[in-house]
Amino acid sequence: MYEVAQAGLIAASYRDVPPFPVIAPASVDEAVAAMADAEAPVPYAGGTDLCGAVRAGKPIGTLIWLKRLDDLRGVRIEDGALSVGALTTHAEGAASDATAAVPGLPEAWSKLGKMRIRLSGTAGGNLMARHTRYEMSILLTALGGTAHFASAAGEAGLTPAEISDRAEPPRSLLTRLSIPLAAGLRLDYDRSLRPLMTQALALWSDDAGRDRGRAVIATEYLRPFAIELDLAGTDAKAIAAAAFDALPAGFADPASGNAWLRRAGAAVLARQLVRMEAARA
Amino acid sequence: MTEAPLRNIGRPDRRIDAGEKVSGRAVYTTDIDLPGMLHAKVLRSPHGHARIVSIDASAARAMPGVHAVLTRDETAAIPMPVYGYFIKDQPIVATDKVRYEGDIVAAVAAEDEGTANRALAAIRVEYEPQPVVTDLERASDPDAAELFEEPPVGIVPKYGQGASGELRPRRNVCYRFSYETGPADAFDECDHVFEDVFRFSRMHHFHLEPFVCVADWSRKDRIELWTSCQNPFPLRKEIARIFGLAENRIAVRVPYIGGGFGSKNGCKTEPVALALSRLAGRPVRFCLTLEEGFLTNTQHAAILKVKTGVMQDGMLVARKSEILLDSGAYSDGSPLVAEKAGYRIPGPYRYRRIETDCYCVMTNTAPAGPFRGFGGTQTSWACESQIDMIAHRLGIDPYDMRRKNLIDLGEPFVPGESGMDSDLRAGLDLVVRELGYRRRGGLEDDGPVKRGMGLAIGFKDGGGVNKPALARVKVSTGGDIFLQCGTAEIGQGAHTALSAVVAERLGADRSRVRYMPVDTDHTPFDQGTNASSAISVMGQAVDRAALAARAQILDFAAGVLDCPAEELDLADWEIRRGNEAHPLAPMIMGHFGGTGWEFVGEGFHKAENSHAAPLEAPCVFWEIGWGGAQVAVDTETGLVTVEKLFVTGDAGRAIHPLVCRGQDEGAALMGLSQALFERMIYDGSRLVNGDALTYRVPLADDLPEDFRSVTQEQGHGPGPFGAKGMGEGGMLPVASAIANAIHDAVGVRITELPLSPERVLAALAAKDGG
Amino acid sequence: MPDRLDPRFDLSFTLNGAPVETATTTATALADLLREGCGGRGTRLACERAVCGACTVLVDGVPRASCSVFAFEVEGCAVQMIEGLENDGELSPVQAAFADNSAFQCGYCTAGMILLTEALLARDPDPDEAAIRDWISSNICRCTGYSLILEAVRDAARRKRETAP
Ligand SMILES: Cc1cc2nc3c(=O)[nH]c(=O)nc-3n(C[C@H](O)[C@H](O)[C@H](O)COP(=O)(O)OP(=O)(O)OC[C@H]3O[C@@H](n4cnc5c(N)ncnc54)[C@H](O)[C@@H]3O)c2cc1C
Ligand code: FES
Ligand code: FES
Repeated sequence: MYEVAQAGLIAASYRDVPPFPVIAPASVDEAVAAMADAEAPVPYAGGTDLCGAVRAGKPIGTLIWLKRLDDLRGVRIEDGALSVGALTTHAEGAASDATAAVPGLPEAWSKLGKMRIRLSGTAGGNLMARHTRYEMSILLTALGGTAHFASAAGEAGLTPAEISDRAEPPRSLLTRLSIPLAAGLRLDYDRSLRPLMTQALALWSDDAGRDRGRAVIATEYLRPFAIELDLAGTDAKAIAAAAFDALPAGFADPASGNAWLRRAGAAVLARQLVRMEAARA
Repeated sequence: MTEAPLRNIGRPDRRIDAGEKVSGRAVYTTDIDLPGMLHAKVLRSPHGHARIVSIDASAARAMPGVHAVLTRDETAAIPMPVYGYFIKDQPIVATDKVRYEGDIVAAVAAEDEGTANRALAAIRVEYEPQPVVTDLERASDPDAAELFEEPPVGIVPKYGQGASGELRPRRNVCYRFSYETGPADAFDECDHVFEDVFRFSRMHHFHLEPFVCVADWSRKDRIELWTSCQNPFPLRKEIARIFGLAENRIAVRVPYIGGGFGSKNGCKTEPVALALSRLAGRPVRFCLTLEEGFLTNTQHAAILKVKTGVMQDGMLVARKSEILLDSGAYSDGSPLVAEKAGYRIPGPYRYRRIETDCYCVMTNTAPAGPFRGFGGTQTSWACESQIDMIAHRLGIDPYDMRRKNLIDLGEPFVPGESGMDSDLRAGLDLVVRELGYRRRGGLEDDGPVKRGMGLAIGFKDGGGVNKPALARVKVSTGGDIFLQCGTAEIGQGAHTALSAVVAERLGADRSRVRYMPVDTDHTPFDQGTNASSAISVMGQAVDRAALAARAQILDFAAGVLDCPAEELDLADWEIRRGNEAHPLAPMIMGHFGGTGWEFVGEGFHKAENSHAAPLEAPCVFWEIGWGGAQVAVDTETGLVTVEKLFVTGDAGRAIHPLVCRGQDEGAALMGLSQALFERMIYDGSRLVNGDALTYRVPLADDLPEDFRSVTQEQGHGPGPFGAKGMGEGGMLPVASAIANAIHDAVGVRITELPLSPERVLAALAAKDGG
Repeated sequence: MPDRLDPRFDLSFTLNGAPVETATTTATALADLLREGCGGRGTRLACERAVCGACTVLVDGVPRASCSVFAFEVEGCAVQMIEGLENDGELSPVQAAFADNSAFQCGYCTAGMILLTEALLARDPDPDEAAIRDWISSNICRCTGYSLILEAVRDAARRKRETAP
């Protein structure tokens, strides 16, 4: 939370920020235009993270307040995909009927943050905050989802990893997340070891009817790491062990190291596989 | 005195601060606002250890809205610009060197915080980085960089039988405390000698109200200071020394304190704010951010090497300990914590020989200081873990091992000390019953999840060392009661408990008592709100003050009624004599005239000095926290879930039961989070998680399913109505009880905190491997 | 809310039921507006980054960390802070439950905890244990160990149900 000025650490405060113009666009088009034209635009949704970011030195030129963009609120099923508006709060998203189209997602989403945060924090803000400890990118990675951006240059779809790399077009707005509803797509999210580690497992069938699976392991300080599973075997422990052999040695968290992540990750994955099998049966 | 039932003691009625605190009206230092007040901010070192080559603050000084800039150039004019408890080593702002990331280099007072921060960003500092010292065990190596090349001014207090202290005994050690008693050859007689090493993590107090003060030194010969500080009188003395001002020119006022847990002792924000106020000629508010709190004061990480000699039957004979406390970059309260850690490491057991050395090791990290438990948390962790380890090695149940060696009620802890004032076995048996410890063999496992139970007894001396306290009770013509004493209300409920004592003695309802604001200009002297001393030490002074006021009132009435005072009683501001009731107000005005009168009683307390006692005065009371835990250990992930946590303290007499309960439970939860996850993570000299989002403190859903406390009232305390202090005991046993439970569940011993999944899993792997 | 706000503007909202109009800036945090301008000092600041919840107020009934809400966001909204809960000097049932259960120590988290409880009970007058823990976990209390707070919330729910018309 410090700004490292040339001579040292300064305890930054939101009181350091000089007043700025605020634009409250009434439609996505207006918002995109504002993002294109305004001086140093910063989108603003639920505000649960921006305040911390400001203290860490994020400047605000013009604040683009997204509150009126009702189009970006809510979860829908569209064209065989789950479409999550960027402004959907965690509380709304977890409670939405549409979310239940991916079994396990409502339960997972309802665990992100505590009630005060869930009532204001949005799915889009969670991703765009680009914090390794925020979990939307873990879920989205596991479910093979895409984040859709709108800017004056047009639309763009990015993976969560690309968002971490700041690969979205400049001055763009996250509008929605989409999750293709592959056959039998379902999720298990294990947070029992948070904040040391959390793990998502998505299972589905591909076009050829083969069982597919993806495990995503994430820690407080490391970006989510996805492992495509080989589900050919039947023994959950063997599948999990094989999967975690693939975890690179460099995936080592300052709080827990690599060795533990391998072992605990494999143990959790084996249980997730068993749990999901039981749920299906 | 009558035997009437007590009307104010032991009742769970509303605390006296309840109305103000639930309505938002309570005033804290953060709320103080003076006309013309400026805001201070500081520039902190980005280096763990560096020489300061140059500081150029000219651009900052020239900025509009900036009223004062403080660097080493300005502090050079201050008579003694360094502070600390035993050792005056911490400069107001850095002079020759910076010694940790976060060390204060410069300060600015400006119209608002934003302007102050912009001015700080304009200051240029040239540093010459030095090698950092962060490893406790290597800090004294001959090639380690030195934090202090020149010895700072320091003192070693007078110690009694068996105790000694030394300044700078070796490189990068600012203080050593040692204690020994009993025959030196006692280890020779032991059947077994076990040596184990324990590591203790470091937490931040994480009090919600930040470090904050408002300092007004706009007039040359008068300081007025509002501060969130636990010990206003020692602070006044320190400020007088630093700035060369008479103590009667300095008023220190302490509004409600929003939590401290030990951190808010001694100089913190005050010297910077005062120096800026003098320079600017205006009042200055200096409020740290929560992140800066991490850089201001912390608990002591520690390495404890404990060697214990026992007989085959489990009888303890001798213990030799070496403790390294990570004191950070400045001594702060470290020497005092070293005294206590060094003194408490034997735990509540009987030995023939005790031998301890405790070292305050300086490192290039944030200064460590007092923290709830004050060394006792570190020592209880080591002691209570090792008792279990030894029991297992000898094939004895840990419960039996403890029972066999516990000090008896009334038995001195060590020669020259006061007697144990709790029945230790009774407390232990209570835990065993509440936890169902004897049935633990029947706990069911759940596949890879194994269950177990553990016990521990946390132990510390309470009431401070050689601590004086003074109190005054005034009663007006109408029977309105004023209580004046220096105990700050930091959440512990002291104002409620002390007011209840006064009301009880004066036969009044507690609502008749007003606890007067703490202000060193008016409040009688007190050494500080610490060491669980409010009831045990200040309580005795308050009790005497109330009894003195009562005696005056009865004497006065006896004169008026022309009878012996012994025939009279006082209740509801009437004098009772047999069946007669004489209202006091008319009696007082009849004698003193219509303007009335105030009765004033004073009370003093201090433990007798005694050179036979190792710390020069016998301990006021023994603070014991008994605890027990049931855990479920996931052998595949290492996750430890605490399913049951039970703690119990002995309040002697619970003046206010809910206050006692809250103290034990709050302390226990701190112990739980330290045991499982809470810690400051350092990477070299850099703090990795020094902010509210990544530094994890417990939330309501971290509470174990079954979390309970019981307040025992064994009745042996020295305080009013048999009360003892509370507030720290509940924290002490928790980590070791959980570690012991983990061992019970899966047979591995973790000797380092926190008891994190990766440590548990690594220990399980090591066990399976060999 | 107009489409565009200048750095300095006039804000109107209702605070504890009474209309407020005040000049402020876009960069002003709601907490500072309430503490320094028009509310009172009962809203407390600790982490100043949405984590601890000490500064919680209700904005149209939603508990929000006022350190992390810009003042401009409450244009036209109803803001409820701790000072507004008393009715003619009578503590609200939630306040009374906190007072009677000694569900506080230093009191720094208390306003936030009480408002959080008000919001919970407005949504769910009879919350189960899981809901209570989930909600109370939104905010940090460093003093109490939470047990007495949880008891106060249960007690407050009981009191509110009993006094409900
Ligand atoms: C105490 C606390 C606990 C938390 N616990 C968890 C947890 O357990 N799990 C978890 O996953 N998260 C957690 N979070 C994070 C929380 O979920 C996020 O802060 C929240 O989702 C962010 O959403 P927001 O709308 O409030 O974002 P804002 O604060 O409004 O914005 C965050 C960032 O995203 C940008 N942004 C927002 N919307 C858009 C958009 N549509 N297009 C482009 N950029 C945009 C903003 O410019 C800003 O940089 C926690 C946060 C806090 C404070
Ligand atoms: S001060 Fe606002 S959440 Fe902590
Ligand atoms: S009462 Fe002190 S933080 Fe809750």
